[in-house]
Amino acid sequence: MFRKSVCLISLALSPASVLADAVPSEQAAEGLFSEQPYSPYANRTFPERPLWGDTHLHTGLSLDAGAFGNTLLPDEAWRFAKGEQVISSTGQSVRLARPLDWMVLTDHTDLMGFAPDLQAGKPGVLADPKGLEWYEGYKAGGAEAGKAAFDIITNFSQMTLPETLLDSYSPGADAFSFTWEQIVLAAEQHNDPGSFTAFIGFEWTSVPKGFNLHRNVMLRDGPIRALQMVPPVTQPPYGDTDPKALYAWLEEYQEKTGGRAVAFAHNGNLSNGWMFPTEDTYHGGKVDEEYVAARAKWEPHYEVTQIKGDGEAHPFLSPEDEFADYENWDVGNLDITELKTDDMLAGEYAREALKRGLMLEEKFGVNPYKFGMGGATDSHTSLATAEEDNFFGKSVSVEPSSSRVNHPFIANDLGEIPGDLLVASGYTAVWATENTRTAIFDAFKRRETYATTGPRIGLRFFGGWDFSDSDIETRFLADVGYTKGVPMGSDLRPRKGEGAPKFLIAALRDPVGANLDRVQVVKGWLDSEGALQEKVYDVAWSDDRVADQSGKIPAVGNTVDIDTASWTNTIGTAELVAVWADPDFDPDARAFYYVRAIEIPTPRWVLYDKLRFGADLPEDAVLTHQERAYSSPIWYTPAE
Amino acid sequence: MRVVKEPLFHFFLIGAAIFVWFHIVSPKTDGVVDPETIAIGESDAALLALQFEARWKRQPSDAELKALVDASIREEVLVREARKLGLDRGDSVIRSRLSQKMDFLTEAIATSIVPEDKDLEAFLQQNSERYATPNKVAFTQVFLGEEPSDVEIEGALVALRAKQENSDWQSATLLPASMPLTATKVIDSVFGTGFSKGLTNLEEGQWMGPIQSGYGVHLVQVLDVEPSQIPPLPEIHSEVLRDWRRAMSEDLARAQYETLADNYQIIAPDLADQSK
Repeated sequence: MFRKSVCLISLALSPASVLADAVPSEQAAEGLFSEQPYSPYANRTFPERPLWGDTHLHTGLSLDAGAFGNTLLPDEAWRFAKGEQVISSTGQSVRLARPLDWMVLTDHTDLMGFAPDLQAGKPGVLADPKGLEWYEGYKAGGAEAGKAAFDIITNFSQMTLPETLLDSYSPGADAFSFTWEQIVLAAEQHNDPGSFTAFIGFEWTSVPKGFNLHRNVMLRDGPIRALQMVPPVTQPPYGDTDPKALYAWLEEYQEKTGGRAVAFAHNGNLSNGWMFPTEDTYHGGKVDEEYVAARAKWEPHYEVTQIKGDGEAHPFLSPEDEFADYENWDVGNLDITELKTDDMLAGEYAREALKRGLMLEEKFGVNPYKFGMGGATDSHTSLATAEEDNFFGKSVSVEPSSSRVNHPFIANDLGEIPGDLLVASGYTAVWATENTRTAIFDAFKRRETYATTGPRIGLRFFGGWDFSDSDIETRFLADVGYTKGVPMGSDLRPRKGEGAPKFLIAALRDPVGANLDRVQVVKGWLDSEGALQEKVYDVAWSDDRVADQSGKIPAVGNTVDIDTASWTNTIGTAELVAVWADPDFDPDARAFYYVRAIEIPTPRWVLYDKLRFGADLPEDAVLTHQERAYSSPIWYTPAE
Repeated sequence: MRVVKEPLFHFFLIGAAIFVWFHIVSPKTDGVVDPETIAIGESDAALLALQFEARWKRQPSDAELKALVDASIREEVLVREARKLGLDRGDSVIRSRLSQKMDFLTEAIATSIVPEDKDLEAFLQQNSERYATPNKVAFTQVFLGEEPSDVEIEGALVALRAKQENSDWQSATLLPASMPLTATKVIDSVFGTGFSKGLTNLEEGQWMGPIQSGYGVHLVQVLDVEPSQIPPLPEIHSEVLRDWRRAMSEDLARAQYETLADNYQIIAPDLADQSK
């Protein structure tokens, strides 16, 4: 009995005594934490400069890219992104003006690796009558090759690919595994932590009945994890076009390998309303708790601008926004087998999706459309070109030539997207502390990214409750931003006091690019009636312009000389910095805020074709435009 | 014997052996011995049975085996007749497949050669530019605006050198106030083309300037410089080996082709003449 009680006592005492040992006296703690260091650069933990990259690029390994004559494989794509000069598939020397900092290579997984074997006339391909027919077409070149390529794509989208070929180039087949290995190892070979990050990724090409539901996937990991799985496809019986199948694959990938992956969609504008559903999904499912949870979990990012159209806003949805009508594609779905109607648009554009997300969050407690913004090229040439004066087109068939502006992207009985509408866009900037897979991937997860249509505009965006006007004077803007607020992609901290949220916003023009016209804040909210609202505010602009009677800042002007495809930075300004408070703040309304920075007008790529080739431009071709950057949003949620 | 160690010499030795071997074995398999006989031996039938088994996971029945043998006889008859008619000539599929097989032979040999370190060292020296690390500079900078006056620049320089903090001349800017050791091309992508040129030859640790960027005028304190250097071979061995192999296989393919082409008298129109 005695012994037992001693035991109990010692047990009871021991944790306390251990704690007591660990609590030092106040004197002992002196000097443990030094004062503010003298050097203002010490202890800096936030990113200093945005890292520029492309999240979406195809090589000759992709079915469509290879069929259209792309002979450049991942090695060339990586070397090009790193700034090396390469010879394009059409034999033209090409190089980026400035190298990228990182890239995700995203070849289509369906029939991955088939195209190079077709080009080489591998026996397995030629054994199939269709394979032989395509090969002969490809070899014949010219119109015959184009016909063969088109036939391949048609058979893909109608799911009528020859069974033997499908078997040989789908998960389970050696050729499929070896192609994946080739992709993974090429990325690994070119991954150079600290100076260039090569992400392993792929595109999951879901396009049921021509409705674009594509997702790109990027992995945080290297070959050891990536090679434990092969990527998923969409063609039955090997895959499924329902995004739930992709989510299941992602779940399995993380479970099995211990790795991490994210998915992000693009080109809602070609989905005919199916990209951002609120009630029913295309695949007959409901937008329910399970759907919103999975989408929120796997898709923290959206590719908002790229070659096949800019998807931030549409004038039908945002009639008050004079900048909404930018490089929109709104004819139909991806293969124009169904024309677009106005009621589809709300399910297609990023701004509307962000608004719908607020409504779904009100309903389910989870916001499925809480994404960060990014831009990408989606080039199928292995060349990540998003600059107007160095644009190598969507596919090999529209690499620079005197007539490419006149080749329609697609044309059929229902409608047409003319070739001059291709968009030389875009890139993604990431606020990451170092140039590594882990740091950049983690920035994607916390949505600290922004999109541009090509130019390298610097953009900082912080939200908080107590920014003051004097904060714009600081030399260390980011210091103030991260200390007093949260960066783009975040939720505002809980509300303090009675005031409205304040935002610290700064935009810097591309060091070798055009000046800035203005920066704006786009706000979306769910009002007390349950209706979705939006408003665009001009917050800073150049040239001391004064708002007109309607409250709008007049246009900045246009210095573009059409004959020489040049412009001058005599209008606009290099840098715009502002602290902006929401004048219409309603503490009870869910809301998001994002920044749009707009450049002064510059030439579109078609003008360089005219200058260099004497290309015959269509009469209605748009010659100048105002390029832009879109920040990821900052969200406000009312206190319970 | 320098020549014995030459990769090209090895290549020709191995190449010759392979071609001789193919020459010896090919007549037997390719029924040209007696054009009027088609003989399917026991071993051929066994091979067909084996292929069947690999596909269907069971032995073929007698009827199935007979069908397989008949099919291969049929194929042989048709192939021989097609050759007699010359149908194999001018067929782009067959031609490109044959020339591709020759390329495979060359490639397979090229990738099997193991170079000595001194070959790689020589390759590294010849292509030193490709492997050189970039020039790197670490610095702190202060932006003085687009067009500051000489007086403002001088004043700022004096103040910075005296370690005075003063915000009057520090225009707010999104540009990083300092950069750790960074490649010059990255510095230029942030500050504008040519900015890094202005940083070279600056005295380290001292505030210097003015330096022109894409945005305006800066004062700069260079903190550290790491000049470009060529890493020693052991550090980049696998990279050099890869490039050496790529270069070697291109050289070999060309040499191989030239050797073979020398066996032919080639008559082709002089296109240079035509174009005149």
